[in-house]
Amino acid sequence: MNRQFFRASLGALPFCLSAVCVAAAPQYAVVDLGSATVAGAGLAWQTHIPYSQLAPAGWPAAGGSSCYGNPPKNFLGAEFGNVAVGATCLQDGGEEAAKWTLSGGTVTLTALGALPGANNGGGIDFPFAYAWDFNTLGDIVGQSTSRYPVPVQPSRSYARHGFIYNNGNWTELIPIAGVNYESTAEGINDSREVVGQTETISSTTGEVLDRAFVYINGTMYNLTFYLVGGPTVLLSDAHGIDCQGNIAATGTPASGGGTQHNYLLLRQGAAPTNCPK
Amino acid sequence: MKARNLRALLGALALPTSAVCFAAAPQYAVVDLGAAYVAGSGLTWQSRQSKPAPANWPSSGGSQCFGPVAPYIEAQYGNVAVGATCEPDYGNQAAKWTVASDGTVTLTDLGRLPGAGGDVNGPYSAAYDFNNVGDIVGVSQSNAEQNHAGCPCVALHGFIYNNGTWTDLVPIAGPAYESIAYAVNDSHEVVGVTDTISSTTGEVLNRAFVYIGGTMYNLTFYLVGGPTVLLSSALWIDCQGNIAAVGTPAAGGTTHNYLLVRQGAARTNCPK
Repeated sequence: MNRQFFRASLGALPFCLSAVCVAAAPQYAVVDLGSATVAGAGLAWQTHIPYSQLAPAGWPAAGGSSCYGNPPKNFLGAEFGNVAVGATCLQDGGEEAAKWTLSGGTVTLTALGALPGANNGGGIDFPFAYAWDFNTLGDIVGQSTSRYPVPVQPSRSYARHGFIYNNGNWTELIPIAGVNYESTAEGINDSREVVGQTETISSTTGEVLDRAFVYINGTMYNLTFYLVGGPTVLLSDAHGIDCQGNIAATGTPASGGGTQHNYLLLRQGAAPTNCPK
Repeated sequence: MKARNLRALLGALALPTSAVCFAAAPQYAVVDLGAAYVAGSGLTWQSRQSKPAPANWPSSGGSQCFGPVAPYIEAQYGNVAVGATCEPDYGNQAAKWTVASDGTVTLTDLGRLPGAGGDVNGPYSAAYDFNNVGDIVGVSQSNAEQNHAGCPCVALHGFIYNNGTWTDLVPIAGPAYESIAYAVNDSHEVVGVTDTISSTTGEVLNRAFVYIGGTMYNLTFYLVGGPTVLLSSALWIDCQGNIAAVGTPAAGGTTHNYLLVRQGAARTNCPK
C-alpha cells in the first residue's frame, strides 16, 4: 500500500499512538464534472490566470509614476464588496502582493510586500508576490518569491511559495516536495482552510509533479490521497474552497488515458452551519 | 400546489394523463456551492469570456467592419471555434471558424434565425458553444417584436444551428420575450437563460432552462425536493447532463453557484 494512502486511511480515523494523538485528516467524495478539453463534455471552474485582470486605472500603485509601463499596472486576484487583492507594480519592475480598500470613492492601497527573507531581485528574478484570495477574517493568500533557490538552474533563481498573510504575519506554505520547490495558494475560507497547487516528488519515478493541496491546521495534504475510495483521480490543482470545505479541482483519471477533467470534492463529515445565506 | 409543480412531479413519474403519455421530465439533485459574492464562501463556475479572434482570421465585413466590433471567440476546442463575425458597416453574426492543418482558417457566417427582424444597430447574432455532433448554440434576433421595456424592438432568442437548420428556442414567457442558449452537449441538451412570467406577480423573471427533446424546462421546477432554489441562469452542461447554474435560495439569500446533478442512469460513452 502506498505510504501516503496508508497515512490517509489512518488519518481519517482519529487515533492515538502512545501518548500522541493524530488529528483526523480530511476526506473528500469526488464528483466528476467531465472532460474540460472536449466540446460539449465538461463543466469548468473559474481559475486564476496571472496578469489577466487589470485593476481600474486610477487605483494607487506601490511604484507610483515610476512603475514600468504606462499607465502603471495593478492586477486583481479577487474582489468582494469594497475590498480587492492582487498585485501592485513596483518601481522599475516586478510586483508585490496588495490589498485595496474602497471607501466613498477613495481607494487605499496596502502593499503587503513578500514572504520574509524573500530574495526579491536576486539572480534573474524581479520581485514577485501576488495575492489570489481572502476571507472575512483578515487572511490573504497568494504566492511569493521565497528565500530558497530552485534546484535546477536557470528557470527562476528562487522558488515561489504559497503564503497566508494576516495583519503583518506571514505563514509560508512549504511545498510538499520541499523548500526548494514551488507552491501557490489560490483560495481560502473562513475556517482557514487553504487550497492551491504544490510540487511533489513521485515516489515511484522521482519525477516532480504538480498536485492539488489543502492546508488545514498547519498540514499540507496532497488531495489525491484523501479521496473516498482512494486515489482514483490525480488532482493537479485546487482553485477554490467554499464555506463547507468543498473544493473546486482539476486533474486526470488515475486509470490513465484520460484528458483533463474538472472535479468537485465534497468534504465529508458534519457541515458547518454558519455559512452565509 | 402550483400547476408547474404538479407538472414537474407528473413529468418525472411519466404518468399518463387521460390518453396522453408524457415523456419523463429530467430531475436534478442540487449541490450548493456557496455564496458567490462573499469572501471565503463559494466556488465559482467559469464565466463566459469572449476574446478577440486572431487578427488574421477572416470576417464577413473585412475592412468594412464598423469600429471596434472585431470578430470574437466564445468557445474553442481543437481546430474549431465559434463566436461572432463583424458585418459590413454594422452588426455581427454568429460564426464558426475551422483551422486546417496548414494554418488556413475558414469562416462560416451562420447568419441569423430565419425571418429575423432588424433594427438600427444592424444584424445581431452570436454563437456561444458547440458539440461534436454539429450543433452550435447561441442567441439571435428573431422574427418577433418585444412587447415590453419601452420597445418595439426585435426579441432575441436562443438557437440551435446544425448544418443550415435552425431551431428557435422560444422563451418560456412567449415569443415576444427573450432567451439565450449558452451551452450544448452531445445528447443535444441545451442550457441557458429564458424570460418567464411569474404566476403570482406577473413579473418578468430571468430563469435557467434546459432544452431536451423539443421542450424548454424551467430548471427551478425540476429539482429533487422541489423548487428550493430560484435558478436564474444555466452556464454549462456536461456529457452526463450535469449543469453549472447560478441562483438564489428560495428561502432568501444572496447569489450562489449550484451544481445540478442529473438523476438517472449514468451515461457510459462520455470522453475519458
